[in-house]
Amino acid sequence: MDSETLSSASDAVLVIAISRFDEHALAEAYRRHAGAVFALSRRLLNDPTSAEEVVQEVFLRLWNSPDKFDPERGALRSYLLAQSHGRSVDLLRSEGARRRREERDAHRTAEAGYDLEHEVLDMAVAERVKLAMAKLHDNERRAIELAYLGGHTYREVAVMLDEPEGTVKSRIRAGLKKMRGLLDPADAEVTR
Amino acid sequence: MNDAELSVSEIEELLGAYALDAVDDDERRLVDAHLLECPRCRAELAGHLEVASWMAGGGSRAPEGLWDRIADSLDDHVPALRLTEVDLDAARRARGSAPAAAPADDGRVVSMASRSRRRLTQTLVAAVGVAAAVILVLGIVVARQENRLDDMTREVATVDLQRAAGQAYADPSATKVALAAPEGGDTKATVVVLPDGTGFVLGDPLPELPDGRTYQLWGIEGERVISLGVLGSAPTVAAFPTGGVGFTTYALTEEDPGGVPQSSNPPSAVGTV
Repeated sequence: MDSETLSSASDAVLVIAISRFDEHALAEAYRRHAGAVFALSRRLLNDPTSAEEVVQEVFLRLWNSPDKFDPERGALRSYLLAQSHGRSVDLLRSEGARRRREERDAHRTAEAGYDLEHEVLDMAVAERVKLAMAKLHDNERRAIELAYLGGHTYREVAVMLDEPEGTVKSRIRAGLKKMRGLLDPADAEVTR
Repeated sequence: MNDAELSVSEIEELLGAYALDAVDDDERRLVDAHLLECPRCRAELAGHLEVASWMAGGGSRAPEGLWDRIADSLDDHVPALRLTEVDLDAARRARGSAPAAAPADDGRVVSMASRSRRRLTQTLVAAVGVAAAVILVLGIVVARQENRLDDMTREVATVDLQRAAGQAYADPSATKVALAAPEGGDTKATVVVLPDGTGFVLGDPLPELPDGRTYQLWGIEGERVISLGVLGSAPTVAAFPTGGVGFTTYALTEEDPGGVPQSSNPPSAVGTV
């Protein structure tokens, strides 16, 4: 495809072209989504070099296995970010010492009174998303942030917040559902 | 933890944490297995993942030079399927091979299009069962793989791929080819080609391949065998452009991830127009 066609092609069409080894299509997917993929990984790992490696892995995986992207399970952006998050969390959890240190730090934060705004503001979170998160119950918001932005399991979050595991699990699910309802994708600017 | 420990409702309760990579490995495996058979949970998970992507935000620009490193490594990660027209005689000379192994008695490259399905299937099986160098001599000529996706782009950009394939299948002017195992048996996949050259392949369903393997679709026209796409390990539907080539035979092979420019594997399914 030429560059003009690529720039107007949907993500689904890009993936089809990528499956046929169209490097320009991969470049267009990178242009659209690599910034967000990198930012998320850097946020989780606090290490730009490792985050670059994650971005590289994510896009090479898309190149080598485009069939792993299932349009029925969401948009390409969601898929790439999920890949980035999963790989970053894997790296976090493989670094035991660093992980334990982070858990201690997070525990202290929780004990001292968790500061949502401080935790979220350094993210390039769209205003609408921040407003939606602010409408969650504090305990839902804390659980989601510690899990997603902190890379913790819900069991770890339960320890950090001194709450039952089942409660944390339910709050994460309920919070995500509420945000989904608050952010109508039909007019949310944060979505493609 | 084992499967018996989690009811469906407990797995559903895990979906939020699962979407945020906040479950342990055992739980992840249980949810993975449940998702395969539960469209309702797949839909809920898609919603959670979308919310997660919103929380991730738009981010900034990726670091300078990162794309260059990715682009440079593409050649190392996948077979180069940047196919170019290959002159058959030149290919023979380059390989230094005599065409003795060709099924045709006189050693010539034979036209597959002129054969019956049974004979053609035998030829194809014979061809892909021998060394790659011999395959080239048999006349498997890799043709230029042009990116003729423009027409398909207009189609697929506006409608879901599955629906587009369904519409194509229902189109009386479309050409439909059933692909079955070379030795016969049930249809494994169906190729549908619209008059404008847009093609779809629908698994009927295709058996899921183990990790590390993928289906690859091939079109055969005369002496040319052209890769039409790498479909993944469990394809249900895929689109491909025929580029106006009047393929007389379609075949599926099982390959390593990324596919191959020329296959040395026997076809797992084949069908003639």
